[in-house]
Amino acid sequence: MGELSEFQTVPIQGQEHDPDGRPPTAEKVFEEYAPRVYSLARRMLGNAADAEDVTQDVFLNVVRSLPSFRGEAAFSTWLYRIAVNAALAYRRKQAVREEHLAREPLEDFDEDGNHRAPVRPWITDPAKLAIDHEVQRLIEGAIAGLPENYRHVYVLADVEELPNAEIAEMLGLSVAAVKSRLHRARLLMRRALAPYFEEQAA
Amino acid sequence: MITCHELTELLFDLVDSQMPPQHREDVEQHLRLCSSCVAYLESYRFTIQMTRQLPRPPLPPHLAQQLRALLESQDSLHHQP
Repeated sequence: MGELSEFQTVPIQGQEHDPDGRPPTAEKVFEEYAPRVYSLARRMLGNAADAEDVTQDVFLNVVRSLPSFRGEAAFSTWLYRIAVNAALAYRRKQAVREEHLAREPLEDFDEDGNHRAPVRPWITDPAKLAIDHEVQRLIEGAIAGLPENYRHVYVLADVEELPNAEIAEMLGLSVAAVKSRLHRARLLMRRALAPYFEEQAA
Repeated sequence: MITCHELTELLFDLVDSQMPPQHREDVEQHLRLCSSCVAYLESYRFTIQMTRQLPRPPLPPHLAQQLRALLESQDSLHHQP
């Protein structure tokens, strides 16, 4: 992978600190953090096979680097940065690039800026928030269908709930660019999910 | 009054409670009169709420085995005399 050196030497500003400043054991990395890395990579990369490769790389490098973890940052912050970097590096290596330009999500306005057709309310039953497998599948599919640049921001912000400033640093973007991409991603997600959640016309 | 298009551009700040005061009144006025934008706002919020409820996918068993093997090989390296 070759992406780790900067993380081994540069202190990371984090909000949490391990109380004793010591890294977790390799066993704890396996139990607690490997599933996080896998799910992050799977959603960022959009498929399971690539995510498995990235998870192995990250896991091996993290376990080897544990002795150099300096405890200036929360371990999870350090790990997220390594995982995001690895996923982005993996994507860069692939020859096939996605088309980054999203279809304009605001197309359903008329020339006066009004909704071209009435927007149907959704069935926002709180019970749906205890989402079942079918709904999970829909949302995961919609995330996988986002253009790559929007997907990365959406996964880090709305799935992993990382702060915008941290995402900006990880992805080498301004905070304003993160917010803009996140908003577009949410509009695209809303549009993808609308057919499944709109109330049916009477 | 602001348009539906303009209101849509303000949704991000609205749901993140970062709405500048000068926009808040415009938004509230528009929402009082436009049921489509009320529905749009609710669905935008619901999309975010549902996403935040997503469970983590479990590690595939074969990947867990591979990671476990990596862990053991690292352990044995560290414990070599």
